[in-house]
Amino acid sequence: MPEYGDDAFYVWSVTIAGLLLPILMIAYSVIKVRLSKARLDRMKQEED
Amino acid sequence: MLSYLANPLRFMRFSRVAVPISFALGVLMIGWSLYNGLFVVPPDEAQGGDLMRAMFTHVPSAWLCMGLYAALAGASFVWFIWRHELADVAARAIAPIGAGYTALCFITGSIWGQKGWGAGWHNLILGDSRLMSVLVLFFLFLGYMALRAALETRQKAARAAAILAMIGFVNVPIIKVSVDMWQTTTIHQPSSVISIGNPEPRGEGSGMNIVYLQQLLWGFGGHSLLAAAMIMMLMRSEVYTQQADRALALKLEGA
Repeated sequence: MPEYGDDAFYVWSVTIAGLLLPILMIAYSVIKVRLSKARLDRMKQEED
Repeated sequence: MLSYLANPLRFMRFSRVAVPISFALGVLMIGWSLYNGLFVVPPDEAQGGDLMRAMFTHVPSAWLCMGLYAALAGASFVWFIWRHELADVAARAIAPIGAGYTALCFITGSIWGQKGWGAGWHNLILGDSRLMSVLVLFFLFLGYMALRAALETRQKAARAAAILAMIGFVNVPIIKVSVDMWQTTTIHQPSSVISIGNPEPRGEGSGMNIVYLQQLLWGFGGHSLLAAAMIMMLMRSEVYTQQADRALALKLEGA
């Protein structure tokens, strides 16, 4: 692990934020598409 | 390509394959950019030593939030002129991802600024042309989503939101020139890659070193692919929702 001295906290905080926020956005997208697909499937089943 | 994908059925077939590929490539490219940016490239003393490694996260998110707004305005324009439904679906999907990347740009910039400038963005924002114009961009994304949610019918919401998105596009060049042409109004450093109206932004011979630029481009490419995957997922979600709404309307009519 590299030593960034005084800058370590800032460099790692930025990097973690840069990973965490896209992960949250991916989770939001996956959940949204799953829920809407499940609703459509339910509607189709009710039609049948 | 775009006209081919303008058909919703073709888009659904294409995106089923494109989402996992775009996602996997995006993750690999971001990983490569961060590995090199954090562990391989030497620190740049002119940009604060090791602190400059924050740019491998901050700069791609800053480029992407402007690019996503341009895409939102472009999709809104296509819907407004040609009334193409998939363009409206795309605009609706771009907005939350654009807002997320603008928030990421703010968060990472604020942490970087805390050390680099001695004060976080939250202490500087009111008097600074770059920070204020990015804040306006964030509110434009939020305003777009709020407007869509507030109006009763889908057509009214799409029309009002498209007008907002197109007018708001004027803010994108303002963000760009705020650090190049109005340097006295911002604490933010000038552009290091493409500078408008300021050919020597950081003194003679101080352009960005190619080893840093390469990592920035890997990171930007990776985040762009990741954003594309998320936007396609949200577009698929919107198509499913519209299909379910139509099925529900038919059912209610028949009842």
